[in-house]
Amino acid sequence: MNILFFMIPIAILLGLTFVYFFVWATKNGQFEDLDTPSIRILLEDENINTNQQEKRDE
Amino acid sequence: MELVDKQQFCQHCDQEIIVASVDEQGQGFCCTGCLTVFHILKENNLNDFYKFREHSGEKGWQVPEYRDENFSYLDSNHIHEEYIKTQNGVKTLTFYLEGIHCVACLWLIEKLPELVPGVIHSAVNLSQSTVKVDLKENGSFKAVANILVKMGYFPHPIFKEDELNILRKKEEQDLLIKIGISAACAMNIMLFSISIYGGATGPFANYFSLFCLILSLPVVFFTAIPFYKSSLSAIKNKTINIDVPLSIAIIFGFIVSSYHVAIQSHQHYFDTITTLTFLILFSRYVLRKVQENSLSISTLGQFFERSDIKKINGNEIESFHKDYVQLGDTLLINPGDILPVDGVVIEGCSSINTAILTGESEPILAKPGSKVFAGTENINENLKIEVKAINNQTRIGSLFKKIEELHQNKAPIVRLTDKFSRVFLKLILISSGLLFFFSYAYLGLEQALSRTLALIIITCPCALGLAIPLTFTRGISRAAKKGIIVKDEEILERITTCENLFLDKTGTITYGQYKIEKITHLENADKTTTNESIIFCLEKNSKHPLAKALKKYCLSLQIDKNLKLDHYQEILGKGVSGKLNNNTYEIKGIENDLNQIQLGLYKNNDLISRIILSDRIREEAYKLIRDLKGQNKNIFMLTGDNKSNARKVASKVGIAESNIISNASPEIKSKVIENNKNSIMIGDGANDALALKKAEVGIAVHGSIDVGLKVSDVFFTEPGIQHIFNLINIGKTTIRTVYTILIFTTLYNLSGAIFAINGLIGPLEAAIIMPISSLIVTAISFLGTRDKIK
Repeated sequence: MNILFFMIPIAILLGLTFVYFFVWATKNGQFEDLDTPSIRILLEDENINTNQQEKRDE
Repeated sequence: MELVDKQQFCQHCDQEIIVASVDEQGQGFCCTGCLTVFHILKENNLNDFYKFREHSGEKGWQVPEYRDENFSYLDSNHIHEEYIKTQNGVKTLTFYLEGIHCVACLWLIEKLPELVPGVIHSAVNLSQSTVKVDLKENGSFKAVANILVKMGYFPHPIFKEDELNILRKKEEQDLLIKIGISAACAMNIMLFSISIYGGATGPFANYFSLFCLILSLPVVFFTAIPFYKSSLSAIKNKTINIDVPLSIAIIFGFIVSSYHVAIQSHQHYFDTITTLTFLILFSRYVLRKVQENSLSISTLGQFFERSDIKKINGNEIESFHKDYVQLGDTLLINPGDILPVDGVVIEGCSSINTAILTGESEPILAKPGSKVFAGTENINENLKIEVKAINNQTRIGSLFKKIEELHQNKAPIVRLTDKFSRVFLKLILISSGLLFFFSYAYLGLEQALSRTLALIIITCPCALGLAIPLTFTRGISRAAKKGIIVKDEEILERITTCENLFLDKTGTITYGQYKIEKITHLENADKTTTNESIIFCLEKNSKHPLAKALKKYCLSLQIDKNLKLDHYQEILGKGVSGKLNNNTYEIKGIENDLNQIQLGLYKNNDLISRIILSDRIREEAYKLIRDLKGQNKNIFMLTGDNKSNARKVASKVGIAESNIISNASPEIKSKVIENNKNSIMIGDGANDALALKKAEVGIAVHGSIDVGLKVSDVFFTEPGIQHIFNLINIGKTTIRTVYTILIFTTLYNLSGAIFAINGLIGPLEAAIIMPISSLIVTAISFLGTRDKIK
């Protein structure tokens, strides 16, 4: 169990890395618009399908 | 053009067609806007638009009226130098778009690269209704703007994000970062705390406790700073706000816990205070997001004003953006334009509609040397003016500023809640102090600390600070979804207490779209031209719904659209007149006892044509007026139309004859409103401005949003009586929900306090229960304001 004395600081370091990436993502505007991307994903699939169909039809 | 008899629905927007616009294949649309969009979609193989719209479940919206605006200034050099950034051969510009309302719009607008050459990418932000367009360096933003207009989305370029927006974005990012950090720390601390609760002792327990302390440092000294700042400013102002007990709890908890770590006891509250911080920050973020998505009037107001200005430099007319107008410039004002500045006429002679400023229905004549004012409308001739005042220095600008300053009132119920929470907070602090002393005396330090901390945490009135603004916001956004734009939250409360309702006839009770039943010519006006040409040219500059109907009808025939009429005059609500070839022609109403609206074309006071029109009453009108009467509202009809027409409609829908005020000019309307306090009034934003300002709740219909919203409290983007009913209902449910929340909060706090004082709840449980209660109150707020009306 003494390994805990070593593991805990490493775990915290790992956590800090993720916090750093979170802060970086926020500053880059990742979380500015939360609604549109969720809808856009649905649209793009349909888009690809119709485009492919058109290409096949030609 | 066919006059459609049986009910038909527009191919594009699915609305019922009153007077159809028909294309070459005979398909019917409700207006030329829809016709144009339909064809653009077809030509570019974009018919999937309709499929997406079906999925989104939204009922079709009518394409907004086509407005003529010159976007040449978007391609000019000075705009490019100052505002448009170019990077790697790509220039970017963001537009705010009017008329975005669903997924299908998102799909269509992101197809811009296929419709406009040079567009590389277009990204839509649905919640803010903006689109960011990336264009090749040699591309034209003017072309982009024009296509957007043709598709039915009117664009307003956003050149620099105003300070407020930039500040808000930064605040939000800051909040999000704080949430992330406090969440990470709180959950890790929880891991360690659980092991201590689970029975860890000795060196491990000391190790864990130490880390709890270290991890709580960023939370207490960084993420909780907003709470401290807010508490300090409240204390400086000798009041208490909801952040005060919160800050006390956090600091108090931290000091006590650190002391425990120092003496190597394992009783500490790091988990409590960090979880509390995280949950409170998170709920504030959610509230902020919800509020952001509802229409914000202050940020939108600036976008709805017309941006293009025509400056005259020597012999050239250049198109500029409104921001570039300077004192002393010479501007060209076309007929139909709203003056953007105060000025003096240099050249030209024209009638000006000053109703928005003076409430006068008679247009005034402006000639060289006359002073003209911003916000007024130029009716029939070109004018050259010299700029004398711009923006807030114009007469109307300073007037609007004054009106806005008056509108800072909070709803009475919000003021009540503010007082309530302040008293409540003082009570909390006093009882916490008392609890501490008594438990210290009788039960020792441990119990004293634990119970006091629990009490402070559980009685924190964050519910009030969150849920009540949320309820009002939901009310306003629900109204916005139905096309009702409410300027202020207090209006939702005021509208439930008003007893009198003054309805406009045309457009509200009726559809306002006149159908031409028949035109009979008793005599030909002239050998060289048809009667319809004269009718068209007389009505060319009138905005009256009758004029619109006549123009539409005449356009379908072979007419001469450019007859030059002298001495043109429009008497608002009465008729138009003009001279041609020394003959005076007039169009006036003919009173009759039949159930018809009749107009006559007169040549030198002789009737030469008789025009019969009909205006249908909205189907919902019968039921809704009955329902409104059932809610104990007195319903009046306030219309500029004549008595017999008013009576015909009123008797059909159930408005008492004594409640009809007909032939009402804007002056009369404002007098009537003055004499009837406590009333809701519906009217035209520009013409009824004075009356709308005086009403308890003024509702503007027709016309532009920015004008309407400046003089009234509410703006209907669609005319119709069902909106009044909806608005009143939304007001009722909002206030009812607020009362429910207040009752729940009181009950919850009483029971929570009792449990905490008796030591039945510890600080950690309190830290978890309190945000749960906030969640419940938020849920009440959402459920109470959900849509029950279809």
